[in-house]
Amino acid sequence: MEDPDPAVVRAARNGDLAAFEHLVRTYQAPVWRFLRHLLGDAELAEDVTQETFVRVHRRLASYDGRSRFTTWLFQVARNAGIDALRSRSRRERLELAASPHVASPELRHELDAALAALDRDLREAILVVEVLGLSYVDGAALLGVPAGTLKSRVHRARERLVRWMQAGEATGG
Amino acid sequence: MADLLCERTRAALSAAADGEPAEVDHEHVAGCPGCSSFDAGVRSLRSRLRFEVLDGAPDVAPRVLEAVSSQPLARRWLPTAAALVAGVVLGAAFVWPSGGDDVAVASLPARVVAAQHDVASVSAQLTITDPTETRTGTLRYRAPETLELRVGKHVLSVGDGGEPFAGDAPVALDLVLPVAGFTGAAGPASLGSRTLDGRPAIGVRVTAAQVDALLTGLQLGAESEVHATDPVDLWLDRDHLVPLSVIVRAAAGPDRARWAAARGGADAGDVVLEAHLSDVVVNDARTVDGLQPAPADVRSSYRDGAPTGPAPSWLPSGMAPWRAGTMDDVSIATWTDGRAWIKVRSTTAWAGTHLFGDVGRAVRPVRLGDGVGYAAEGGNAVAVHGDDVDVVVTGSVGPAVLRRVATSLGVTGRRVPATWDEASTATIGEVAARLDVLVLPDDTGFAPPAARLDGDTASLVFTGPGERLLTLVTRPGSALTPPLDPDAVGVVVRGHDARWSPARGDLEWAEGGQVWSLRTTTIGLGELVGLANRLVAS
Repeated sequence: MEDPDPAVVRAARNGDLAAFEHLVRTYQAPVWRFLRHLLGDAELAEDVTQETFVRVHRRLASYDGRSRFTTWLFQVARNAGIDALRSRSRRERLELAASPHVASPELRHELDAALAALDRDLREAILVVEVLGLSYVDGAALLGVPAGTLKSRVHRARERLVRWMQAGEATGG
Repeated sequence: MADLLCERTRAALSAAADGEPAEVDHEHVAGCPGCSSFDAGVRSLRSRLRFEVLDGAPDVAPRVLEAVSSQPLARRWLPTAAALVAGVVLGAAFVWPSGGDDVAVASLPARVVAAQHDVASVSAQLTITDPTETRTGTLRYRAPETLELRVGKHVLSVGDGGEPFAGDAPVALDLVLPVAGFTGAAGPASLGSRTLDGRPAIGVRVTAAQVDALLTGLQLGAESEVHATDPVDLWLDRDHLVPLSVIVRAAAGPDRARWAAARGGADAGDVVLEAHLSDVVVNDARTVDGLQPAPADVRSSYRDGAPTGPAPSWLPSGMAPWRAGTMDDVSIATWTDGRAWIKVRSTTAWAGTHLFGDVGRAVRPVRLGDGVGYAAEGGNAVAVHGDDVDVVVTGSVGPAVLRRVATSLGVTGRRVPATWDEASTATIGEVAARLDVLVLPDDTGFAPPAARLDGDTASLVFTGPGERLLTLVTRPGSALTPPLDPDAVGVVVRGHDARWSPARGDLEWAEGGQVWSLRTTTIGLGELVGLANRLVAS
């Protein structure tokens, strides 16, 4: 994923709303797509996408350019997603725990259902590598884990997703 | 041997797909149906994930820009005299609950936490009634973490097959003893004593937010009609403090009415949830004979084994080692005493940009021996960032005990790096050096706040028992910005004109050269105004 022109980021940091709007319009679709897969809920992903950019606006002053902008942006998005999951009522989390394989009605695709069934650590790992296209080093920095851990989680996620997909094909699903 | 080769080959295929250096045995892949199928699957997965059409991607830009813009709105806002009077009445009508003359109830929160040590097993029949149906079921529990709740056709099993005391365990365990609802709580309002199911019982009134964990368990498989501000009459067995009866009524007040309007909900005072336990037997092992722990979640990477992290040199008396193991790079060790538990997770491989341990955003620096730790919101976790190790201590034993356990680990805690999320965490003293600070008195049942300082703006997060939480935000200013919420109501707070925005749960006013905002989604307006009136200078 391409980083924005540093001049645009600088302008947004200095309060230029048009520059900030340009950043929002450039990255809102990939942020939403990442969150949609992470949260398994398109509507919630929309709310969290909005929250992500509000937080980005608030924290732009503290973005010092040492990491790539897109890495920083997706860290904000990921934290916002985790906060949204955490603030879901305990009832929802309890029901998910009690019936782990029930697919949400929002999930239109088998792959979405397979992703939702993954443990969150594995789901995040496969998303940062496959959906965001990050290297193990950059993906590990985003998730705050060692690169070796990310590599192992990506592989485990792939094993399960491939098994799921192939089982679906075998039954004609 | 073939399986090991396949395992290595597939791991190499996975790494190679990501452009990482990997030695793939192509000859083996060509001759192995399983591995060649995996190879094809990885490519198919990539094309589905990486190249999917972005159908339905929403345009959030207009809403984001509106939220961050400081443009004044067209509509002018003037509080009406009637709304101001209503605010005064609301604030005055709220009666602060007090343990009052009932010593047993005033000390109840501490007794609930202590009672954990005396509960080894519970079995009971359950009858749960809400506006649509009555359901029956059973509850069986064996300390420390094996529980089975059956309500109608729904079954919840919590057990010792996976990670010990995993995140959702406290929810279920509060059905046996409402620890999460009373840790750090103030003395609740007393309902007196009575006999229930042949057992002496004491009654208290709390809010649904405070006993959220308990109510969540009771609503298993049902639609929730309960609002966070609904009053709950909770009757507990006098000797073991096991819940015997729970009655939730719809609260009065604009918050509840607004929430219910969208759901066709109950009128104020209507019973929205009622649960009674009968045939309650405590500490008779025969009643839980054959109770099986829940099977381990096959998706979990937890494995029982020897822990590798730092161990505490101090634990509360009676605590004995329970289960331990590892989960990827994290070492996990637990101790228990009946229903009470303590868990230490540690890793030497943390490279994150925030504290290890999912401790939430609102943390408060606390002294731990010669170093510093971070107490998490709710006081149920203490995180330590050491030179070579990151640790988090959690448990059902209360914040002071967790801090003492954390101190005894022998890890010198450091302040988090400036690039971490928690770097703007501040002590109350540091905030007070920049701005006037108001805090809630101890007897309100809220923990000392977690503070953050972001430029000129200070945020203080006050956590109470269960889901009770308030955020107080302040910055220099002499007037409120025009409201965003068309349903904003004028009230009076601390002798000043104030504004309540129900959509955001935000009570705002200007005082002493600063603008203040007290936000919550789990406390009703009446109580919120009462709490705002009780804020004092730190």
